[in-house]
Amino acid sequence: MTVHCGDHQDRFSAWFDGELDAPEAWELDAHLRGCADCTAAWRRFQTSAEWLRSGLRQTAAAAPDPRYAVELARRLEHSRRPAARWRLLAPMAAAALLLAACGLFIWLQGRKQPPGAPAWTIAGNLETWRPETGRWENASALSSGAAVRAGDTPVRLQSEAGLVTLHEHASAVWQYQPDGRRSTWVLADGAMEIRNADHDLVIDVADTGIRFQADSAGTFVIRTHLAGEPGNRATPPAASPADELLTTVTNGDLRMRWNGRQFMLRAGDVLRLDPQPLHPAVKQRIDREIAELPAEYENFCATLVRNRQRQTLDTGIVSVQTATLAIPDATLSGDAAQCYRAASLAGVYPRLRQITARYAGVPQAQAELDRLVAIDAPVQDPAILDVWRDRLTQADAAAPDSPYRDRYAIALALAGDSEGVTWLKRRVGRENPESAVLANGGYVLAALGEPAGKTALRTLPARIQSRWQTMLAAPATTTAVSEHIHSMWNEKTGEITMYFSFDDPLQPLRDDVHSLAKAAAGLRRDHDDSGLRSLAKSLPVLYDAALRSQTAGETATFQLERIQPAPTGTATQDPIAARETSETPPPVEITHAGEERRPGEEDWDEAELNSPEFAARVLVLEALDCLKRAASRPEPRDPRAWENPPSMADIRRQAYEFRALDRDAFLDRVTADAAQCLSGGQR
Amino acid sequence: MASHADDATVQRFAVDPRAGLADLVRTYQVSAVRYCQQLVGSAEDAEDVSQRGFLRVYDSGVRFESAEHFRAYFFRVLTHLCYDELRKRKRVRQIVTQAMPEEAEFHSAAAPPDRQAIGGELDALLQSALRSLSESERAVLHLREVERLSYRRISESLGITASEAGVMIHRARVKIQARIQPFLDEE
Repeated sequence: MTVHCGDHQDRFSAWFDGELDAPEAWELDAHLRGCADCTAAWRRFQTSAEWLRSGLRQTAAAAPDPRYAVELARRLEHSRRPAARWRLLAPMAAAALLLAACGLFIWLQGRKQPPGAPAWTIAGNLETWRPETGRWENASALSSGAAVRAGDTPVRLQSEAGLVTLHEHASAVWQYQPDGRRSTWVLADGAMEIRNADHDLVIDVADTGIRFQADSAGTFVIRTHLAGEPGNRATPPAASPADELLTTVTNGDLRMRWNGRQFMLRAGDVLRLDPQPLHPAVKQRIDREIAELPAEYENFCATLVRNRQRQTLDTGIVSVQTATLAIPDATLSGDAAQCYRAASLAGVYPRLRQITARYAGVPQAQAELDRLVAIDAPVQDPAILDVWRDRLTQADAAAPDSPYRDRYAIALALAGDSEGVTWLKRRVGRENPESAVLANGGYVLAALGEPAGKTALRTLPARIQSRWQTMLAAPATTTAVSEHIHSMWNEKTGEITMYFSFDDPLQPLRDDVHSLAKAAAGLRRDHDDSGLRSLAKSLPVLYDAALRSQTAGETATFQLERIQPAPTGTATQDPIAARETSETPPPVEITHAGEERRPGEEDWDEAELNSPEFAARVLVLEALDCLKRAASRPEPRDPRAWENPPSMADIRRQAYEFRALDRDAFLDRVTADAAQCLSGGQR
Repeated sequence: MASHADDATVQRFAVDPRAGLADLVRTYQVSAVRYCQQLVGSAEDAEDVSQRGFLRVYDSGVRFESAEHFRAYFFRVLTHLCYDELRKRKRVRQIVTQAMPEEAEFHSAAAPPDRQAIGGELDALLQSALRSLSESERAVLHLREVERLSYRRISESLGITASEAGVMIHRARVKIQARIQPFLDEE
């Protein structure tokens, strides 16, 4: 035990309450993973704190005394009586006023409800289920404002607001407004079921911040809590996370507000929280992949090593599943960074700080989380802005060429912080034309209405200029800056390149293209040339889909000459094959209606740049560029020859990080690899 | 966590304090009583002090912007009233020189019957541990664990800084852990 350990243990409470800043939480988490003493101390502290919390909350769940309101009303009337000082000065007058006040009080009392039944209280009948008799028994009156808690058997409340059943060990507070025909439940724990209510219902789920509203209801079941969240329960729920958040509506419409988003459910709907709108084609693919997942997963390890596209799709599925459930669960995903990203996009950032401990054992997670959380976290949090400012300062001081520092500046700028804007303005003027800082920063500045942004964009190469200009010219982009920031892995540099979505109508398609490009890079890394060719042939399909979706029946008037593979695919038309058989890469040109456009030739043609066809072509060009860069990568063609052990080791490491390989399998294979390398690299 | 009362209740109080007070009482009665009971011990005194709290809010003329604003203000008023009550008791005790009978009453009146039957031993342990805390430690612990306020809201309610609130909460938990750890180890 060292003083350092004591410092960490002093932060247990804040960590337990989710009050630690992300950097502090990560630091503590990292320390716990390396310190057995502190880990044991944390477990003892957590057990004790959960016991205390549970005890205090259960003890505090007391029903209010109905006489309380009556007594308060009486005191309120008395408080309107004259002050003592005045009575001292004029006792007689005070006595007279006292009498008058008493008279007024009596008169007011006469207008009130009888004692014990104030105007805001109404009773329902509370019953307890007795399994030994198979009946509901022990009916007792329940006043509005009362707390109800079920023991080992359910309890139910019958009132004119409906029939409400609290499941075992559930607790709730009931408030009822007969005049407003409105019944409010604050569900603190467990599950409740509501039937036959003809009043408006508001169910406030205390710990999750989820609020349900229903105009009227036949039957629906509400469950509380996000599974596994520390501090919510002494005992984790037995049900799966999905069950915890699913709400079934069998009759009546249900309005729900969750994290600032509104939902309307109709009878028969099943609620799934899915805050990320997906492109239909992507969603269809993911649904199909989810259905196939169990069978696929058995061979996932081998699939991953052979085919990185599989990995891409799988992590995509995990992201969507995670976002859908709004429960980042590392055991489900095996990909902590994706979980964090999905959860962050789902708007559940505060929980991230509480679940950091779950990601122990994922070596790459910390670095990824650092970046992703900084990028995706809600920008309204002043604490996060402070973190970003610190990171920007540190990055500037420690690594002037860091590819990540512009992210913090951009994130700050998008959050309306002047420091970020100033940094970008200063920086974009000094970047070279190929710089991502120049492109991203210029784009953000331009979208924010800063003249420096457009000036910066004009210094970019023509092809990049076109893309940014197209996006800026879209109607939605000039009015609001979207908070969506997409991180894309650049297969050439190994870094993640940021793209910003300003409600770009082509964004779903853009995502698909980049997914393909990423998959292509993986295939190339795995030396799967046939896979690369298949992928390249799929691009025209994507391109056609873009046209169909964007031109609404208009006939395409252009073709991607010389770079678009023919539908049947020949060796000379295949861009990958062409790259391999020729020293000169296929020309990257954008043609429109037979005209050629040369880079830097002229200023932008607004009409052309605004056309969806042009944007679609840019997308395909980007994908083809990725393919060509992958194809030109100087890597060994046959991994079995073991000419490049680090490459294979890298694949193994990634397989382990994505949990496709468990720890033992990973160590076994690495050991075997090392032995084979030492024996001459023969397999 | 979600507020126990929506903003509409507070806004109704701002528009018509007389009618809106009923809503406030209905919404915050349980919270106020149990908070005061945590500080002053006696259930009767807790009711009395919490009612004075409602009257203080009613007389203050403050127009609250949101439920969060109201909660911070209300718990601050209750805290001051509870401290006043405790100071008054100390003065009385100096004169009468007798022990506070309330010391053994923490929560006992509020515990539901089933809990009394099943968890009497646990309750006794909990109450004993709570009695080892100072008033301010009990206050921050209650605001955090029962009222589920954030450190920032707790600091607003008690007139301290958020970091002070964090330190007090941690200190209270460590004290209680020291008392209950043998029991938990047995389990």
